[in-house]
Amino acid sequence: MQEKINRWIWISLPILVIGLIILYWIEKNEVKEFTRNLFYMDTYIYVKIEAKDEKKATEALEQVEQIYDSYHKLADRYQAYDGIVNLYTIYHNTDPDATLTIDERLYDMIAYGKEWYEKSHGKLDISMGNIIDVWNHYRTMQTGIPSQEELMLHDTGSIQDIILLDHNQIQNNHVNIDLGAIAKGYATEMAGNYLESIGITSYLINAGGNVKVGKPSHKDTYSIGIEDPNSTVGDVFKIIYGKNISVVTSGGYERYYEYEGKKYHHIIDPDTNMPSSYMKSVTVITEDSRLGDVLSTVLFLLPIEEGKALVDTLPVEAIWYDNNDVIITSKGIANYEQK
Amino acid sequence: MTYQKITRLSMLLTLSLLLSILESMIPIFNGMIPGIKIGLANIILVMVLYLYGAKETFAIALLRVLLMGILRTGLFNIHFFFSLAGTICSVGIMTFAKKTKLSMIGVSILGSIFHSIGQIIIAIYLLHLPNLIYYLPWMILGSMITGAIIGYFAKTVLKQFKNTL
Amino acid sequence: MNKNDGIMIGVILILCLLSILIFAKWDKKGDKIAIVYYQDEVILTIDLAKNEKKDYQVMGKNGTVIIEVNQDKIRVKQENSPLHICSKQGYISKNTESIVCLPNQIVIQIQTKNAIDTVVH
Repeated sequence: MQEKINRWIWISLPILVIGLIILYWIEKNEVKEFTRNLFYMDTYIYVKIEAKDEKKATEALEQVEQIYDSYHKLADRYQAYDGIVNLYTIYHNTDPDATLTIDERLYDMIAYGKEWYEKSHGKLDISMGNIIDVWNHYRTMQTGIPSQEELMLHDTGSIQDIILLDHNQIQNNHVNIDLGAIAKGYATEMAGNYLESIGITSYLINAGGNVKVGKPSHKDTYSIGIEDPNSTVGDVFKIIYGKNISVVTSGGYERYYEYEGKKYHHIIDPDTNMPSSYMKSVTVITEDSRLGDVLSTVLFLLPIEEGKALVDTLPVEAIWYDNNDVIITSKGIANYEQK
Repeated sequence: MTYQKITRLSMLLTLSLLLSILESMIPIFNGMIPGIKIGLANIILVMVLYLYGAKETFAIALLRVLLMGILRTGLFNIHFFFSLAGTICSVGIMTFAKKTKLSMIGVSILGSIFHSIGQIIIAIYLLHLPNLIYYLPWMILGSMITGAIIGYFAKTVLKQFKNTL
Repeated sequence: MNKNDGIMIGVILILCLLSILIFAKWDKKGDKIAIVYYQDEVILTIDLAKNEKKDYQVMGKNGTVIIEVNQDKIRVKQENSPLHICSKQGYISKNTESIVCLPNQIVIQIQTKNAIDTVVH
């Protein structure tokens, strides 16, 4: 009898131990989701990553917040921060002839803006800070619209006055630089690239109109809904399925005000100094969130036919939601629809 | 084949049918836990396997499925294929297991387990329900218990059987 | 029973427990829908995310089958069959679970809704 019990113990013990080890191993290697909500650049930002190790995930989210924080500060033109040369410092620099050494990231963003001024034939104009401020003022007051004279008065400084020198130096001849169409896409792209660089390939970042995703761990693609511009409750009119892509929407339906029955939104056409009105929204699918951010603004300011011609020359896809609620898509959009 | 053998095999076949029918009539044996049946008729299969061999067991098993179909559940419907798949898997593994160092109870447990596996596989195929695989571990756990009981019965009865024969 | 039986039982036991634990993790989180089939045809789709308590009646082969939804769980409440296996099974709520009513040829499966990961606006 004693022998029998001993035998049972010797058989069952190792099996039990092995079982527990396997269980521990499974638990340890299980991919978990970690999320964080941030608020930078006037936008709620949602970050979700999938990782095995909680410590690593928390550190990664911390770093992502750091990235948004620094881009937020660099692109802030209303406030100065200690030890940072940002858009505010550049604009409020009293000596217009001085050259300033700026952070490489800010330099890159301004260079990108200048590059896209050329490529978009002036539709993307980062020198419009003052005009945007006029419109922001009227949008807050909601009591009228600025006259052409008032707008002309504030139309000071042009893109040519922003002079980038070597070694991250800028010579700004009192231009109020606005990176509203660039900074969010830049920060999002950098956050995504950072996550990939530390081996977190399954992630989803939603910075308002600016989404960037990696490759999900449990399925083939992430699904990204595009909000219906007519919906007040956030209905979706199309779902994009994809991995390692960025989806960026520009629309006039979120930040706007009404005056005398007409809607005035926040995306200003540099050619007219007025909000554009070619469509209700446009969505761009790219690999690069920076390009997505810039291009969605440019496409919003272009008639749809011209926009389509531009999209065909670039490795991107786009979806327009026109003023008659007709949805127009570029040629390759089928790659992002559910099979 | 001697007359004696034919008589005994027919008798065992009848017994297995009787046990199957008995089991389906007594609620305790049936549907206590969904998906798990005790399978009393398997006592006979285990006995035949140890008394005669694989060929005879297969014959009895297939005949039992066929006759149960004719008598109770109907031929070539889903129940028929469930029992056919279960029986073939069960007798197949028991024939193999008998050659190893397992005892009669071990062989019977394996038989029960593979009966479940066979049924689940055919159910997944016929019902197009791949999700049924999630129930397999539970069914195997149940089968281990029923298999052990069946094996114990078979062993006890076989001992008496051999003494009387 | 001998030593070999013990080893075999032990190994199978652990494999079973492991697969049960692993399968438990395969239950996808998110809103669920229950799909009711009669002979391979979808006859009813029930949203389990609405958190309601409601009975549904469908026709099975042996007559009416009453399906009860309670919060996010679903079960077969009443049906006509010799063994009542599927009404004895009770509630299911995970996408790894299903109810099969063989005599009535009714099958209930649970799926996770294909939810959108995020919305761009």
